[in-house]
Amino acid sequence: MPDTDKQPDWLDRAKNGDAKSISQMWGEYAPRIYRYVRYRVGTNADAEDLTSEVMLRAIRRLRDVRQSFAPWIFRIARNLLVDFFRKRSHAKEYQAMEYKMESASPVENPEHGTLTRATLERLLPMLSGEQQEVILLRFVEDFSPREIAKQMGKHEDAVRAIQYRGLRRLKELLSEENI
Amino acid sequence: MKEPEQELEEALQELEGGKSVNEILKAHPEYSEEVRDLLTLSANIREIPHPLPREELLVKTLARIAQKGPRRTFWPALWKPAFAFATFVIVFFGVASISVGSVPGTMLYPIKVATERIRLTLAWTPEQKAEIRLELSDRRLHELLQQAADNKAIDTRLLARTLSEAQHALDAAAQLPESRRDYWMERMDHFANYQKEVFADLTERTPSTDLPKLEQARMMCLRRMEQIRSMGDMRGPRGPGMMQRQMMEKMMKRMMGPDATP
Repeated sequence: MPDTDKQPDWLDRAKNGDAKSISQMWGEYAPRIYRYVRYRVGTNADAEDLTSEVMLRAIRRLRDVRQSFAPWIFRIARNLLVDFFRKRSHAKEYQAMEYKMESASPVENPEHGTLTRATLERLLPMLSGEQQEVILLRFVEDFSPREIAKQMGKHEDAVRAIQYRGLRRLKELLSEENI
Repeated sequence: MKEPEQELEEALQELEGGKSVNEILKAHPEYSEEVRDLLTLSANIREIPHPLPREELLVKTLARIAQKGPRRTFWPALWKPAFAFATFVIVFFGVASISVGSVPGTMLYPIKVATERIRLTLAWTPEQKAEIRLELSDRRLHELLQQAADNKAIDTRLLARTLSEAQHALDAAAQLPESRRDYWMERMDHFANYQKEVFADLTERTPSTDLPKLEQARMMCLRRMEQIRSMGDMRGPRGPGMMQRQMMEKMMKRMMGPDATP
């Protein structure tokens, strides 16, 4: 698991507006933010818009980084996701339809007993928001339970419990589909 | 007896420490079936090839930087790193030079427009601004020509842009000291005449429905030429009168619709 407490080498230079360092930040974090957001929102277009906004906010607020960089930027993403879901709550049906359309074309051919990205994309939204978040941060983004707890404003034990319940629910869903 | 959450966490830490799922399960026969399943599932999630962003993500972000920054009445320090980043990416990856030949509707066109906006924002002196505005006016004119060559209808937005950029270039040139103004007025006059001739040429190649727009655009070039020549006589510190400029803008809006506003 990478040490997310360690500040990236480029951070101080990026804070002073060094364009090359900001580009390094882009290269390292845009793909991570994208995949985190992509699993949550379900469509490429929304994921791109949100990632773009997260990266822009991060670039503009770099001087505010006082803590570890990775949890800081993921917190920006998390806050934007909360806004996104609040705004979209009135359009759930539309969102579900759009999601279904994009998920309809599988990225890979699932073999029996193998978890694929398409399956994960389809089943993850069936978990609670907190479960989705913990699973993504822990197993896709490699954050420790302590870091996730800080980001979510929860106790580590609560994060472990959410993680357990989330995995169990996902396992149930997979079993229902004979995967 | 340990809680299953705790057992799973211990197993996950071993997994993250480099052990395989099989090694962990072998070493801990006391783990329940459920914990074993969940450990395997978590390992599977880690192994999935996760989604990666498309190239459009960078294009979208550059376009956002370009759209948001210059429209503000002042340039907050917050936006400087964003502009520095955008400029770096564009220069470093050479995307700007590749996108120069792009036309509206193509994938690289937003990069072209973003690059132009960034260049404009980074231009500090009136002469730099005049230079870039004139170049942009010329680019929009060539995009119109390209569309005509492809037998497409006249794009009103491009028509408005080439005219408005030329007007902005004239406004910037009007702020120059007299030593530079004569040179610029001559260039502006030459360009207005060239624009007018291109519009005249386009009238022979476009559908009749587009003719009124082109005729209006041609008339606006003629008026700008009059304006440039009168400026040469005025020699005032501010160049063309504000009233005259406002009249031109109103006329442009009436002719082209709301797109005429830069």
